[in-house]
Amino acid sequence: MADKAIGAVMVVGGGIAGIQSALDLADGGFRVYVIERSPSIGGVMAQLDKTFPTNDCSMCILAPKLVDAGRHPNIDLKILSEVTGFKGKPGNFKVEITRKTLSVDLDKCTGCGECAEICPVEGTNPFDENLGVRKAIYVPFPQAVPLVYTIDRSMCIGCGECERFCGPNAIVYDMEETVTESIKVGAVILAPGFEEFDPSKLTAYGYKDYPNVVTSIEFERMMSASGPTGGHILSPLDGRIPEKVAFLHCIGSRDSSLGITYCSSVCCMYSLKEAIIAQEHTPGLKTHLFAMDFRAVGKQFEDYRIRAEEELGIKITKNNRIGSIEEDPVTRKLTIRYIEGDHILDEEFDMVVLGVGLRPPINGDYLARTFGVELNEHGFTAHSTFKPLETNVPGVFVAGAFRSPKDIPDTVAEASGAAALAAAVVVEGRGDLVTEIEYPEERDVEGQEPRIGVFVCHCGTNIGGVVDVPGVTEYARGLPGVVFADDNLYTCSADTNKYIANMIKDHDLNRVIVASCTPRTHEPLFRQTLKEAGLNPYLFEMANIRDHCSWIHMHEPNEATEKSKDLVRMTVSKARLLEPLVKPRIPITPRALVIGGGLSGMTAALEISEQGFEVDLIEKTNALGGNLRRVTHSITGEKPQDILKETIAAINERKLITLHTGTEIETLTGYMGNFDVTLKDGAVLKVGAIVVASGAIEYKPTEYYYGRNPNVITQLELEEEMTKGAFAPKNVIIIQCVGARDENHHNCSRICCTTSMKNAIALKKANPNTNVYIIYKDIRTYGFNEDSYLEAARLGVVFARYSDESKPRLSYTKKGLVFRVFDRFTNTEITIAPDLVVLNAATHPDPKNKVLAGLLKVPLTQEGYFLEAHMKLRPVEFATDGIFACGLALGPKFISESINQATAAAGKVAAVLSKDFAEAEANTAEVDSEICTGCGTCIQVCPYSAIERGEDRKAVVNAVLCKGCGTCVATCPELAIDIHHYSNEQLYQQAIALIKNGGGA
Amino acid sequence: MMTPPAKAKDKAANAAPWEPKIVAFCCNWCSYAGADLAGVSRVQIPSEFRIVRIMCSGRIDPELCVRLLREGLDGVLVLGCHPGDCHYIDGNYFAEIKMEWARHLLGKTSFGSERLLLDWVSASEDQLFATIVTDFIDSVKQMGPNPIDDDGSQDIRDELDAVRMTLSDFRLRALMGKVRTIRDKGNVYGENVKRSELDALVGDAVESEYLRNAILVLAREKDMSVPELAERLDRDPQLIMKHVVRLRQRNALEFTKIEGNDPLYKTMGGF
Repeated sequence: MADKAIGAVMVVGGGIAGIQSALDLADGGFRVYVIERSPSIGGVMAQLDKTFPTNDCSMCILAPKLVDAGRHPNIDLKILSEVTGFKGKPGNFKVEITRKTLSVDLDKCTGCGECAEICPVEGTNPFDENLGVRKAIYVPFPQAVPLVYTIDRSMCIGCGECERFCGPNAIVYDMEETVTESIKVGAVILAPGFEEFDPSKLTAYGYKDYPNVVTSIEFERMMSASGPTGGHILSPLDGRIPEKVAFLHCIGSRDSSLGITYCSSVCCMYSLKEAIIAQEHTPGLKTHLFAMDFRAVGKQFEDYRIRAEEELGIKITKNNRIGSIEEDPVTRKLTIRYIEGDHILDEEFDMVVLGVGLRPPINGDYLARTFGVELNEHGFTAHSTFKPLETNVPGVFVAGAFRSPKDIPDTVAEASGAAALAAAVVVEGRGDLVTEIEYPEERDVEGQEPRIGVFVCHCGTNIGGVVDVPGVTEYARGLPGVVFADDNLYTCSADTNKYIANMIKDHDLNRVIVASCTPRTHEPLFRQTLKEAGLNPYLFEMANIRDHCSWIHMHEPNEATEKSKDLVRMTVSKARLLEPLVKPRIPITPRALVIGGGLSGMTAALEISEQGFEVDLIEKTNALGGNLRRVTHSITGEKPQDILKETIAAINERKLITLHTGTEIETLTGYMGNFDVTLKDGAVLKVGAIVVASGAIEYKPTEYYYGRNPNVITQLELEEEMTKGAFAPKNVIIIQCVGARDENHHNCSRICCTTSMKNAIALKKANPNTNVYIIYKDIRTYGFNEDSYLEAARLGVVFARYSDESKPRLSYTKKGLVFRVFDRFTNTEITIAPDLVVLNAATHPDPKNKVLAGLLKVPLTQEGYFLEAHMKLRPVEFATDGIFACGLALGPKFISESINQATAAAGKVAAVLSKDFAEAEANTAEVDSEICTGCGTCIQVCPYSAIERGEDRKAVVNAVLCKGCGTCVATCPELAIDIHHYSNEQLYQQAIALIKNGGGA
Repeated sequence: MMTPPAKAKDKAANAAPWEPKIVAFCCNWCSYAGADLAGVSRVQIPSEFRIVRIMCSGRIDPELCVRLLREGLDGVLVLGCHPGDCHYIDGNYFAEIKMEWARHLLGKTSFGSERLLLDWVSASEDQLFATIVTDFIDSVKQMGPNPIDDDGSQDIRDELDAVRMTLSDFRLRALMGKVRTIRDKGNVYGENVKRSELDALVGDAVESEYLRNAILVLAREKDMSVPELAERLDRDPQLIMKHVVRLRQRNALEFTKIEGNDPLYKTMGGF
């Protein structure tokens, strides 16, 4: 079996892209090695304060993923490591990894932090962009995963104090400096991220000289509540609160003088986000953004901009690239000169934020050489439009900003897509290398009196240095139901966990309490210990006497001790009522349904079948291809129609795919693993997962005589005309944003600017004498699409900018069409007599989405696109398990972006289908049907559609869909619902134990 | 605002220094994590609060909060994710509706609403966590010990019982479950209901139900006349009469005898 693919994948880079790829693959039954250069996974996203356009707290949404990756049995995190060698072929690669050891035994370090407390050396913290302080022995940030300390050799003076204070003896100064190992994997995903542009060489901005000129990422750290200034925007010069802040866009982007011609895609939006958050943090603060174009191209981004400008009064001045900043030597105010209309204006600011661009990762060249991967002229990886995640090396894939500058949702979709492609390479090895632990049979504790064991942790001196731990232990022994209590130096150490397991057996314990740190990181570990000792893992509770006690009451040892006793007593009160719980198992039908036969749907179906699963693909029309059928050429030179033909042929040949054309869904019931679907043609399907790829439609313009004058056509119609030949217009006007960014349709269609460039270039190349005018509001050729803008300009395409106040006017006389527009760039009125007007008709949601959303019980945006579970981190999933979406159904996007999402959705589906059963939450709600009157209030408040009416109209919770939030419990008018593990009685007893020692009535 | 009854002051003066007993319900995903971060960052906070971990602030039943206050806790704090950040999509919005309701009801009593608070803390807001908790402890300390068990606090006990009963009322709980849908998605006719109109409806329903429960509580031990009830509840007798009629229709209140010109009523068993 020498040729069988190895069921393992290497992910290079532990930022959000790498983490997502790793989690997807690990969930799909593969072993994953994550290679991260720094001491923690998390990447740049861990540094961010908020994320646009929802202003979600970045760490709040990232930290659970970090924890998941850190404790996943199939994921090996290799921190402080780099790839130093690569050979082999797809399915069987050998990768050499070199790890810096930095004098800390990572297996022994418990992350208690006593070493950093004692370390005498202080320096700046790069995680806080050097605005904050850290010790020579450190963790980069409090939520770091793995939570282990490392020594910064450049700072360490070798005093030996950390070794002296390290309880678990994890510090070994004479350790080998590097360790090299060889790892066998079947595929590789490169996700090394990006590097911020360093503005210090642009002296005109004074970044080095003027303290109040900061970069956007430095500003981000200032805004973060856990950052160096505690979330306050403070002038680095004098620590005062600024009144006016300017944001300059395109610093290190779209700048030919630097040789950086591409657009960094995210700076417009992050600058706007920073302005919004800064104004929210600092009452009275005024912000002013200076941009060439404002590129709000993502889903609901334009709504975000409108809100910022109209409700918060944030000023956005376009048409301006600010070239320099002047600092007044006396007042230290910063002056910016810009153009507005016909005027040149000077404006003073207290702070200026440089919106720095995204550069290829610092080790990009090295990785490209090591893996033999080709880079493009910008230093990012090179890909074709139709194989956007694949490199020239088979079995090596790329996700995230190493491909091109991009935001988090696109990164996450690519990460899931790359994971799916990697999984397809190693699919024969699925399950071969995963860790499965055998547990002893569970002891039946039903009907037994509580026999509680309490383990109180010193956490070195973290708890023991403040709280009287032996006193708390003694106190615990006297509590009702407690039959055993002991204190431990480090309860989380492997030794102590063995000890806990032994004590469970020796003392016949049927409930276990650990009083130590936070359950958010340590509960899974101790639950594991219970399972290994034959106890149900839900017979466990934690009392957090460190994070919530000894650490925040360091100077009040008596109060902290009393509080620890209270917390233990309250936890014991709840523990007496704990019941064993079992995660419901859902059997999975290993077959998928893909709705929509356009490029996204076909790609999803093919990729699902690549992993060996059967697929039903339904298309409402009689032909496959969707909108792609009308796209005749691509900007990168590929022939879309040839590729469409190949794709359709592949669908028809693939035995695992069953095609249903000319039909739609009639009914749909069930849940993840078990959906029952009937089609309008009578076919009955049973599937385990669903992909929505139902596409979108081209807006039918009502403006500019469309439909009434044959010389006014849409962009897609232009492409059709161009393929017919004998087509030689002389004066072509292309009008942008028709049916987009207006009163009725707020949002931007993302792709039209680049499409205009593509067609303008083609017209110019076909006949250089053709005059092509592009009439626009903003040019939004983000990322490398900027190349097409530059080429169009080089070929002589003329651009004129309009605004909402001066919309273009088209009149229609006997002599022909006359076009007028007031150009905001030159501030002049332009009149043209075109023989062809091309309307860049927007992408609009399909009105039929409403019906489909109703059948699937999934939400739509106000506009009418499908609404994903989370804008940032779950871009192709719905909140409802087992249902996914991709492509235009979610919003306007490019072909390559649709393919990425379709591949990502396929990977998610394959991960679901690869299991015999899925495990759902155990702490679910349950309805007492004796009390329930069937009012249905709970059904309305359940965010997961997990409650249905039973035959007698009474509510029934579907335990496999319930996520355990408990909102139904607190809402039920009849008090007929309760929830396991957080029941009414458990919460009441835990809380009331604070004042009633023996528990309340 | 209530004034602490005399005995509470005595207790504070004579016995060991009084420490407020405060429970903070924190949701796992944001506020509990924010509290963890406060620890990691060694933010120093007064110690007089105890955290109980829940999965979502939407889990917290306002009735539970009032029951805990009724039994003597000095303060109850509920901390959730910021609006829009909820791990369970929108549990915190429901928490907000329910807590507003509970605080509104407590505001009708001499106990006051300040001992119950809902606020938002994200996983990265250690300082905000500290500020909210410290401010709440300070405000509870200013109010002094929970007067519920003091002699002469029968009125407060009655009032809180009426609040608890109101928070368990079927009609109101059903209404609270619908408020968000009506507010955000319109009514069953697809019309937008004005915020002020909806608020007025909810306000009226809550006031009526509270008064009815207050009547039931007062007439639990002793037969009561309408003028007597009106005086105790500080409401117009005409209004009290209306509620008495409604309660009799519900078989919650029974007529017992006539004293002078006034019929007397008593709460029926089971209420």
